[in-house]
Amino acid sequence: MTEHLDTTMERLIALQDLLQLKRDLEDRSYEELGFETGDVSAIDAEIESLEQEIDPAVMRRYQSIRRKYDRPLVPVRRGVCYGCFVQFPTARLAEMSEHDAPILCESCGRMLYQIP
Amino acid sequence: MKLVEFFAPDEVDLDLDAEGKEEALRELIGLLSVNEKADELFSLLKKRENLGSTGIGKGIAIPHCRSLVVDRLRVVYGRKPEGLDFAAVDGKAVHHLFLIVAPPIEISNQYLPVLGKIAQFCKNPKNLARLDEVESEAEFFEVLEQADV
Repeated sequence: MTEHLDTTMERLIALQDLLQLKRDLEDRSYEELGFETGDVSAIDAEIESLEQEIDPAVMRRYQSIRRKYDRPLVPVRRGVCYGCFVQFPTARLAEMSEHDAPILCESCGRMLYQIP
Repeated sequence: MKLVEFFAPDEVDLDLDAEGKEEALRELIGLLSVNEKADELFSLLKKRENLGSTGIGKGIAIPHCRSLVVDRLRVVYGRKPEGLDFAAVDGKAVHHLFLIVAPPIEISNQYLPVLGKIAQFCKNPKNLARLDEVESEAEFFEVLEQADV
């Protein structure tokens, strides 16, 4: 069961962290390090549960971006999208803290979140 | 980059209070100073531990994950001289804990190589014996420096 998460953005971050964890566990070079990984499919149930907690419209958009990029959600730092490394309009950065719904990079279309 | 370059003096604790795995994870996360993001990180590390302990035996644990809560690769070290229960694969107490947290997107892609460097460092019993003896952060850095990993 996924613990309570307050905002859409927190849920999206948790979701992407889990997808990344699964990707790492399946990486051959990770396997070679010799860590126990158990049943990776246990992560799938967590992912599914989290997906159901996210607004369906946001989730559809996330999945649509995911068809193009492994990581649909990327940080924006010092005004730069860390997906495509193109400058993001500073005026729009202010909007990010005002809305719970993610803002999209105007260059690559990935969802953005701001690192304080 | 050498392993020693990934550590900062205030991210080393030579005398952890923790007695068990969850307490140890929380204490190590505390060294990262991620404040309100600590719970998110703890939750993710727990999920990773549920799949199989990162207590790899011989008194070592290397909990790790990638998370959006950090903006660069971070490594912290904690020592528990008396040992703590980390549900390690060999069932023995853990004395040396290295926590690694990296952002999902890393330009230099050092996450797995750093994991490998720590595993390599820990394979040498002399390194662990020296870690048992260190009495200050400065000595800890000296051990890492001399290990040449």
